[in-house]
Amino acid sequence: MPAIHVDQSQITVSDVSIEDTDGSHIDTEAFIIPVVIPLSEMGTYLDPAFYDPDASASPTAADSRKIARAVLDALKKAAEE
Amino acid sequence: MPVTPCFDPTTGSSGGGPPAVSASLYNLTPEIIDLTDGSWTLEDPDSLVDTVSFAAGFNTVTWNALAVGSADYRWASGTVVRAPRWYKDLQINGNAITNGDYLIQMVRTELDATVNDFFQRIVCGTCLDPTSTDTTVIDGMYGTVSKNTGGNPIYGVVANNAVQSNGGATLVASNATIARGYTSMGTGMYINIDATDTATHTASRNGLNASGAAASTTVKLLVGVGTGGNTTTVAAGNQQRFKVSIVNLTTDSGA
Repeated sequence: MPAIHVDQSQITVSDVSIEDTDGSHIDTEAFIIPVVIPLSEMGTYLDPAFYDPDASASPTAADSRKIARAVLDALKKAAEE
Repeated sequence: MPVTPCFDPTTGSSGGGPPAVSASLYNLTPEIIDLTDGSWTLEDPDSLVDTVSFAAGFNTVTWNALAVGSADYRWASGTVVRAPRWYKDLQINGNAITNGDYLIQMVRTELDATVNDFFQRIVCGTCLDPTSTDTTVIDGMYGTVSKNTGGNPIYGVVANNAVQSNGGATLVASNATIARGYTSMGTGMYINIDATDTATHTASRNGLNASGAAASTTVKLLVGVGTGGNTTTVAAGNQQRFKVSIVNLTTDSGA
């Protein structure tokens, strides 16, 4: 599992009017959480063996959980501050 | 080994000369934008502006009717913007600023929240082509405020077509600082303030890097009005009232 981090000190709460990855427009008040993926890990993340967008079970549960927990831990900590 | 001044080269007294002083950058007086002063050109693709007036530092824009709302009248949505905007060349001491120059612009935006006729947005900042309806061609970076009729003012920055902002009942104004140049749209940051000049929020939003426009393209000042929601309509006679002031600085990029 490659490394994933969050820049905790830069989490903000803002009104955003932005475009999502799929092109849809989002207008909402939101936590903005900067996820940090080292360039040295990019190859692993983009390897189809790690993540295949056409495979419903990809990435694995263990890898998904690690990514989700990084974001959710950051959200939880920011929400409690 | 550091060099220690031992005498004042002007007076000859010991201890070195006085500290270096920047003669012109302390407490600069902002330019209060008066959209009626004759220097601005109105670009209004759908003839939505009825009148504009200026008094006590505030511009008041009176609208014609916008019967059908659309995201096209929002400055912070999608890639098309048909909302009215005023523009002029950005010059400093008569020098035209270009896309290749390194520009710092400070924008103070203050909305008269008592003029509360519709879900509105104001933008004021820099762009490259204010006559376009394509946000990527406009290439804008702005200080901004929006307010829904039942909500609080929300101040921040718009980069191209995306906004980052914070709102609250105590907000009275926002000071945005835009850094752009070297053919980039740059970055905008803001400090929102309350009536005691105390900061309530700070944040920033990055713009785009090279837009494709030549370094020689002149930078324009833009003041835009518009709606805040995709379905927001405006009745004839509805108004927006706001005060914006700016300070523009450039540096010698070779220094």
